[in-house]
Amino acid sequence: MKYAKLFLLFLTAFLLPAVATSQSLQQDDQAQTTTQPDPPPGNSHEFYFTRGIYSGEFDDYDEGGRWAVDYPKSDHQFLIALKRLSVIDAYGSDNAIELTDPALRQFPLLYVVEVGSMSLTQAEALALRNYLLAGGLLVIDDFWGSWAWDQFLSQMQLVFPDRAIVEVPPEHPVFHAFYNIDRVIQVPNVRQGWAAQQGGPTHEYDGIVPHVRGIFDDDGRMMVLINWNTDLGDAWEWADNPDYPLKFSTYAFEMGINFVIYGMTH
Amino acid sequence: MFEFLFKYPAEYFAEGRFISVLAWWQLALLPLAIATLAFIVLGYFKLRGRTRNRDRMAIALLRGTALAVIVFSLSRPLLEVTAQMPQPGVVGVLLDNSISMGLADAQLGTRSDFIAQQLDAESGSLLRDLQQSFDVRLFKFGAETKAISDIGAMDYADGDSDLIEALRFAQTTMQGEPIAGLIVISDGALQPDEPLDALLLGLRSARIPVYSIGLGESRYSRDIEISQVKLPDTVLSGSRVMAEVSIKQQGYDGLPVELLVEDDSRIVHKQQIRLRPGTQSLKIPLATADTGPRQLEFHLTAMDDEQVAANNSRQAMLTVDDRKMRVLYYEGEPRFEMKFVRRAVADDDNLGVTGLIRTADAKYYRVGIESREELRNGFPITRDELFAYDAIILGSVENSLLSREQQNMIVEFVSERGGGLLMLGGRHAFSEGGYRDSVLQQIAPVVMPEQAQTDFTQQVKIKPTAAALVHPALLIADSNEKSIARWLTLPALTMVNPIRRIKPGATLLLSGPANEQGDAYVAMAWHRYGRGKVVAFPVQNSWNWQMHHEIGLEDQTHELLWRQLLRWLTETVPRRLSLDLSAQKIHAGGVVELRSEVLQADFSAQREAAPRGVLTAADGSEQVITLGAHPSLPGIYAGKLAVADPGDYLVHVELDEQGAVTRSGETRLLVTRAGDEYFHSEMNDKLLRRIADQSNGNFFAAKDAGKLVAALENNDRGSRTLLRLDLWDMPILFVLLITLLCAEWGYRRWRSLA
Repeated sequence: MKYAKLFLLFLTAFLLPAVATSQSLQQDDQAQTTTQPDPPPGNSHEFYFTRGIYSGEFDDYDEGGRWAVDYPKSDHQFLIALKRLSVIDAYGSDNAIELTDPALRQFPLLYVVEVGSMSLTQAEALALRNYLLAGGLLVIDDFWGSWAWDQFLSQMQLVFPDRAIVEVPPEHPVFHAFYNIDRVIQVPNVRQGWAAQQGGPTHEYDGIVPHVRGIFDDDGRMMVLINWNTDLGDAWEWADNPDYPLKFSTYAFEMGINFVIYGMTH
Repeated sequence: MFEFLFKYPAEYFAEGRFISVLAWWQLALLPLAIATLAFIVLGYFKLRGRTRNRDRMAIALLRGTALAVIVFSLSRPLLEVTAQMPQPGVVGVLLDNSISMGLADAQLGTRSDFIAQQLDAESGSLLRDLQQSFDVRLFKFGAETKAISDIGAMDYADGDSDLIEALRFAQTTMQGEPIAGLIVISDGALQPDEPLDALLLGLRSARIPVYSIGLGESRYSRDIEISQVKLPDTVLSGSRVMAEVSIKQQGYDGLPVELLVEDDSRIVHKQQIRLRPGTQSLKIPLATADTGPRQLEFHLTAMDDEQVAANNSRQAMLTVDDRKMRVLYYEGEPRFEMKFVRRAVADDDNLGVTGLIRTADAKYYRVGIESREELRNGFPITRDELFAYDAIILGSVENSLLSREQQNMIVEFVSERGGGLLMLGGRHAFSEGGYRDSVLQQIAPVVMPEQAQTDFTQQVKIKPTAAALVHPALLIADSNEKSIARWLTLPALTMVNPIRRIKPGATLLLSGPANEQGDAYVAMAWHRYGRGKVVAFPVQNSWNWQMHHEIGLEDQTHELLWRQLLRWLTETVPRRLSLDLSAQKIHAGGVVELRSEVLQADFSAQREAAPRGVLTAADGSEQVITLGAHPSLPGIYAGKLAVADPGDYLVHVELDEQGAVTRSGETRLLVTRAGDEYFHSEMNDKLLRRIADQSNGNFFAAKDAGKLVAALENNDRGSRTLLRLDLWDMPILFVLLITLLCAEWGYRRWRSLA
């Protein structure tokens, strides 16, 4: 079964032409990450945009892991917007950290991408579970289609075997913490974004409908915010590119700032 | 002959002194009289004709002297003299009729036995000796004072002894009689409701000496007593209460005893303690569960050979409130502290935290609001809006975000409303937030450094001070020992506000490491400001005590700390209609005073209200009084209720307001036969001596009571009394006047003058 999944992943990642183009761009992104970033200097800032480093099935992919897609430019671009648009005392650089690092608990908001290739170790699953139960908020982004969902689901079941994943309703505070977001829109990657301007589709694979879903604790507090069939990170990363549609990057920043404000107050 | 002419014996004039009873305006007429006299005398010197100067001088002298005698008489001269009166002096004997007189002492038997032996109508030796020299009046005093004919009327059943009233009563009853003195026979186990000074001054100026005979031992040789239990009046349901229990003992040093606390017969605390010499005090954490007015009973093991076993148990009242306290948490920037504080108290039904966060310039985000209108315009700008909360948490909010009016309102919120203010650390808090010279600096419990240190960041390991270990908000485990251990293992927090000094009178609760001068960083300090409390908690991220990897998922330290802190900050915040009782426990027949404060919506005093005090007995019967307005304190209303029967009563105050009835919290009143008579029941010789000394009397121990009669006989009171004798009608004055007029007439005849 595992090999079947791998095969499917291989096909979708390398053989589909549209994805192949996108993949070359991702290779460019990966090239920016050669070493682990230095840890941030103490706790001198209130907020560190923290990216989770996890074990995955493609860890050896381009000498990096899928966790690092769009990293660190995406993070930097988001922080620029966050600091410009809000008064949050945010650390101005990226902050990637392994799930098993004890220091993870110093950063109550965690951003993780490409969970379709996530393959958590037992230690990572336990650390993530404890992080979330202690009060951390995990924000998932940039994974598409049913196969990625299934993979993510299987990993979440390692973390929370019996917690439901539910759709986050439009009236939920996460959509209104800073900006009022009435409608979830699909944010395409950079190539799809260009294509969308020519009337092309914004989705990848079979991820046609974007979703914002959540996992909640026993008291109804959100622990995991799942952005499925959408790619906020790419929109942040390419926001400085005039060819990337403004409406997507605007929405991505709005959504990103919302989940930061929400994560710091709820 | 002297007495015939001068009306009184010569000794009176030797010992007494002259005074006048003329009013000032009458005395002011004297110069006029003297001027008239001078005019008459001068008139004589102006006469012309056959008269010579010698004649004029003689006539003027005679006429002037006669007029002087008349003026002297008109001036109502008096002679004030202390004189021996023919009848015997009167002595009032005040006998303590309280329950404590039934206590037995090591050598004298019961205290009431002494009264029986000394004052029995037939066999009482002291009464017999007194009656030989004085007219003796007997009074018994307890809750009230009565004149009695003999000690058969004593029943020693009063639960209270009002000595002040007794002395006043005796003085009034015997007014006009030559009082030789008052005798108080008591154990002195009295708690005067008002200062004795005024009464003693009155007795002294009336020259009525008080003699006191002290009954009982001034120090028991073998006794254990719960001398005091202190509890807050009100706590929120589920709060931990710190009960302060004072224990006094003699004769059992080092002995272990069991302290038991019961809440309506349910044991809520049990601990072994080792008795220390004299008085010891301990703080006991108690959990509260059931709401409403509670009666807690504290019991200490009674010893077989204890002199008074009844003082080993003591009741204390506590109202467990189930209301929801509202906290406004204001942050000038999004911070995780807000998330975790709200999370910590989310399950607490008695706390509601509303968050107001500035997310961008002039942009605010509200969380936990109860209505769409709440905080719609940002931080409140009216008293009504702000005073609807019970506490304010001020996070990283720079000084410029609060106008001077808003800061003044926060000061009033604390000082007048009685609200709580918690000032958190942060990059825009304290000096770093520009508060060094602000209004809020004045109410902070810490001294903010003159220079802001915006680049200061330090990881600080927090230590509790001795005050923290007995503070109900900072007890973070089941016992003091576990709490100390937990504090010492908590991870470090980040501090960005280097504060090292607290203000005089403030209490340091948590501190960081000390510098070379020994000054530690202040991590938490508090003080009272007016009616409210102000806490400084200058740390950046207490949420580290929730999120740190060393903190287990089951660990409730962070939740417990914040719940307890906010509960402690808010549970004493006054309601708009409050009730205070003068005592929680009185004796049957005693009086309790109800005092209520009535406030308007903006918490200013409400005048012209008519609150009613309602006392409800166990059978549901009610006694209602309307409380009267205090003459000088606006918004304060008071009234007294007499309670005849023992029992457990509920008391509340209610007020008609716009067609609805507002009720205060309910409290319990315990009415017993004994009141507190078995407590502090050793002979209070200090009080009895003071009464005697300040009234020029004497104190006698019971064994020296025989010396009392001699002391009474030797004083200058009783059969001797102060007399004021009229002198205007002394015969000598008439004789002198007639003689002078006759002499003038004779002189004129002799000199053939007109």
